[in-house]
Amino acid sequence: MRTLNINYIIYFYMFICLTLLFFNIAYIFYMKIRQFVQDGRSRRWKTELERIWNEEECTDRMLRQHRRMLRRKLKRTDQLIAYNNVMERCLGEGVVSDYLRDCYDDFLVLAAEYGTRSAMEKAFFAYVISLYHPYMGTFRKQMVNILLKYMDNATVYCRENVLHALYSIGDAVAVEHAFAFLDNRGLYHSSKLISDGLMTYRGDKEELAWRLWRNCHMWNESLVIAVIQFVTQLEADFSAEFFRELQREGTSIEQRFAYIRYFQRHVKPELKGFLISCLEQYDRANNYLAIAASTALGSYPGDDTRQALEQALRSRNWYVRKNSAISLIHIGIPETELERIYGRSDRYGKEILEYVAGIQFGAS
Amino acid sequence: MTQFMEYFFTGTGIFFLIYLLLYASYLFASVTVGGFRLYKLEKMAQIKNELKHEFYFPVSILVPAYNEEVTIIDSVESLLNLKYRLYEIIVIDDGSADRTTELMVDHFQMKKVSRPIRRMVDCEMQEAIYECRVKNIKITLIRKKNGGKGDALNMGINAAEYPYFLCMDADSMLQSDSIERIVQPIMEDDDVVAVGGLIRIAQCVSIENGEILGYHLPWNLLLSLQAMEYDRSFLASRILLDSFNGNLIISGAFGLFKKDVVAAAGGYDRQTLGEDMELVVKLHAFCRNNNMKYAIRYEPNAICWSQAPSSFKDLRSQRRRWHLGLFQCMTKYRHLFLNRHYGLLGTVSYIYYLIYELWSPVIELFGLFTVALAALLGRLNTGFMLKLYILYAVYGVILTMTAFFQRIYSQNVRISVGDVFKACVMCVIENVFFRFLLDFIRCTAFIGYKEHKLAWGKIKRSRQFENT
Repeated sequence: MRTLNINYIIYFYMFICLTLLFFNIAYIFYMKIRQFVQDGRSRRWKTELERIWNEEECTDRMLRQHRRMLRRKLKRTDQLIAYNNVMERCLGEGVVSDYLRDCYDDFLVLAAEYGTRSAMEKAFFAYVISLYHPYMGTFRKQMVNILLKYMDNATVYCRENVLHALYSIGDAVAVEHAFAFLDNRGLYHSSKLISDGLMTYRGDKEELAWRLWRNCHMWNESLVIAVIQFVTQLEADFSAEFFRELQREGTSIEQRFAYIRYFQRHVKPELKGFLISCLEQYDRANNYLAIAASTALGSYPGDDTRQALEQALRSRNWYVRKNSAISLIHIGIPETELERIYGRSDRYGKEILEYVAGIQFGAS
Repeated sequence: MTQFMEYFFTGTGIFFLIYLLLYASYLFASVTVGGFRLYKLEKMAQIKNELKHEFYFPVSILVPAYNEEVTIIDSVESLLNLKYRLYEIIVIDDGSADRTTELMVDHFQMKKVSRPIRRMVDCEMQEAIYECRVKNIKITLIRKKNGGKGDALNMGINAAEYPYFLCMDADSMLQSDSIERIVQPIMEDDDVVAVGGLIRIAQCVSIENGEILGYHLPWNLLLSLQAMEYDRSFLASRILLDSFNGNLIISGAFGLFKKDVVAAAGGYDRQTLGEDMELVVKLHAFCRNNNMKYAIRYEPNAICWSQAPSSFKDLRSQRRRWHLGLFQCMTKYRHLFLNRHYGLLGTVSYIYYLIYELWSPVIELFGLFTVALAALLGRLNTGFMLKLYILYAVYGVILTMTAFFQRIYSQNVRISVGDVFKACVMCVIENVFFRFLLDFIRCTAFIGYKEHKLAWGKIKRSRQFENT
């Protein structure tokens, strides 16, 4: 009896195992066939689009029919993939821009349709819009509102694609709303992705920066840091605002670090004293500030800077010593001064300076 | 006595029934979950559900080397062709007796520098440091006293300038998009502290400038068998464990780590043979004990091609090292076992590694012994026994084949009809013979344990072009 039962168990396992194997084989064949069909679709879209883009052949009636077809067929993700395969290769051609402007309303309808789909499909549609929108002319509020809704219950990929679509649309209010949404829902989105993504914004970046800055204080820290990093990459002058925040007691270490990096890139001579004091008032709680200041001071040459950096070579913190050595060499230090430091008794400061100077002079 | 034998055979039978059923279920679950994850990833890539970004996180690549004169130049050259914007390469020569350092210095025209190194984690002292820049990528070579692989990696952590470091073997090669892929989980989730990649066998592939030119199963039987085994364990098993943050291993051949967390946890253990596994378990324990939100992820699309042993002697040495490393790690972190604080890690993951990895050779040999004893006493149901064995072997074969072809398909690799046939044969041999060979090796791993417990695991290396 027991043997019989065990047989059943073995046969059951064999059955599910064979099912798995057949499923995999079937899946692979299905994907092959699907690829074949997809290639056919792409070819048909290519023919259709070339027909529409041919100004001599294309009549208003043909365009109307084509737009109806867009609304009908592109509801299917497979068709949208095939369509996009052709479009991606042709974007940038003048005729394509005219065509996309003509079809804006159809993409609005499709945007609403894709809003009811899975996060994966929404992400793909947002990707398509991020590619096409720069060629579609002025933006419409409806498109922005639909895309913002995509962020609800979305994956990180969907959010990223929606953000890219919003950057390419170039509406500052929409971007602000998107960030407020991320903050409200407590959703993590890498600050690096955001700050670099913002650089692809197609509208007025400075206007966007000011708008985000005015609102970002209510948001979570990673978003604030993303905004600061974005501003740092621009030429805009935020020095007064950033300096005020840098001095404010409640400002977190990470934000201060980001502000100091801004002042490393955007040199404000009146801030030199503050940076030197950050370096000099090193203690365990402020070591991040001292580390950042020792790097930033490399952009603020002068005797007082040199003196402070030289002093910082004796710091207990390894990074302060290292950054100070790099900044010292960067702002330029006379050979005699170097010799004097090499002759000092503090081994760590001497070693790091020798190393940095060696690389610098070796490279030159 | 007869009564006792009756109980013994009944008890053993029930034990093996449960043992095999659990293992079969685990295999099935891992291949199923692995397959679905791969297909999902493929679909996601097709419809642009990816975090494509011009600039990621700066990464320090650590390459510990011990007597690697045959492969080190090719390996570093291959690292210079990665599609990644910001990274540095740090080669740590752990007191090689061959010309590893000389070859590196000559080939890349490196200059000796007097660079101070910050000691965040323990390691032996450096003897010399060389630096150069090639294609604007900084290469650092640190020659240090011999201290073992963990010690060399600790030196690399100390010298790394960037917040993430990637450890790899000196004989391994990365695909051009490997780093881009392995950092993806970090971009998705800030709490990720480590990411493991997929290890595949370098002798099966021809690579030029980080691009795959062709895939084939080598004629060397051991290599082909290992190709099957790697696909089943790396692909399927680790994806399943990844689904509940339960991976206890990130292979030393390819793993990405957050430097400050590793340093805070104490870096690599210098006194173990399985420093890669020890670090991952240590990170789990460290993060959980400090109530840190964390994740250790597995990224099957980040691929590293690593040389596998091609002779029985090398295979024995490698597997012995792995098994002893596993033993040391499981013993050191025994407090994880069934500890509620560690959740599924302390139950599913720990029990899996304990029973089906560490004890399995002993259990399976005990099973063979029982079968022999039963036959001797005339109590063996030979027909049923054979049927069970054949069915179990077929089961293993099918699952291994499924895992192998899933990987071939999802990676868009083309293989010849001959290789398909060869793969099927290898799946059979792997399941009916190779696993017992590995059981034997693992059972004998403890012989000479004390004398060699810190030695570098060495296998005979060949240059990449010799494989093709």
